[in-house]
Amino acid sequence: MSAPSEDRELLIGALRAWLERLESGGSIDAPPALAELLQMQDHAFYRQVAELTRRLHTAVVELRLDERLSRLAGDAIPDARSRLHHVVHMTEAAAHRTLDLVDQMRGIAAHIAQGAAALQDQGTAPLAAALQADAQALRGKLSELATAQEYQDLTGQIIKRIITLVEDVEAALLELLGAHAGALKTPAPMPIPETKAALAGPALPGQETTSQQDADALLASLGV
Amino acid sequence: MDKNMKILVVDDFSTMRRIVRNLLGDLGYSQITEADDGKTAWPLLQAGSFDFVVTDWNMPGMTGIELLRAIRADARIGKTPVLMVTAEAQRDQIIEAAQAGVNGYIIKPFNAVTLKEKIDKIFQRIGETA
Repeated sequence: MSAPSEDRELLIGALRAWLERLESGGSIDAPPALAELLQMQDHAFYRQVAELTRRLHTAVVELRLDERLSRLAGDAIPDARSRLHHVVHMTEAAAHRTLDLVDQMRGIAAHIAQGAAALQDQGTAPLAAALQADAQALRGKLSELATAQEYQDLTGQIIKRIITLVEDVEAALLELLGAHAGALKTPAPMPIPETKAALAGPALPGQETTSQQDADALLASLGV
Repeated sequence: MDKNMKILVVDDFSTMRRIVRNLLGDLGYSQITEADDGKTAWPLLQAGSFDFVVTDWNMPGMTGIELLRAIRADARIGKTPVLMVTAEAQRDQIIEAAQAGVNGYIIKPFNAVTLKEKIDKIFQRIGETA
């Protein structure tokens, strides 16, 4: 803390006077002029501390009552959470719909194969063979189509992680809002416990992960 | 390999359970039961004599690795072959599963060929050691 120049001059003068008095064997107590100066410096310091404390207090009070924060914790985050849940449900429903259609088409493929077998009995072997091959190919493609629906599991896992993160942020905000949280319309549930977050989850772009081949090699080295 | 063997498929995503069931069906297996996590799988394993378990890792309630450890620690069903089918592709996870006694490990996304390969390998090994 630097004193203004006039205070500085006064302080130097007072210190000199005190030093002279000490050297000449006078009282060791600070001269009244110096004591007064030091007290002024103290006051300035305490005033600044008091001002900072007041501002901090105001900031905390404003933060607690900040409507934006309440809205974020009370409405926006639960809304984001429910939208993400909705995405998971939508993709799940779409994947099941696809799997239903695959099941139906498998039935059709089986029917074609039966028809081809009947044709073979009637002596139209080349046509029958062609139909059999088509039915076989159809079944193979349908199987691939069904397997491709595994994206729903993988994207769902990633979204569920984000939901957990959003819930954590929500819980932290509500904690920050403290007593004010009681007045919010939508009380938030506690976040899912952290225990399973240690797992890395599905691979993300740019992430270094193990391929099935790497995994096979690693497992072989471990005797599996 | 016995196509009538009883298989338990454990995954918290119904889509994935259905896909695995479909693929197993294509391979000729029809005795398939589903469970949505380790906790629901455990009483099923205790009650029914399953020959093979296909499980995910990351599930709420009881994870696949916890289920694997529980199976291995159980005198009666301890030898049941377990195939892990999971999105967890970290080296540490694979090692952890191997040390817990997993019989095979498939990283999602996977395909029918990989599933067949791993199942064949598991039962070929069991046949060799039996």
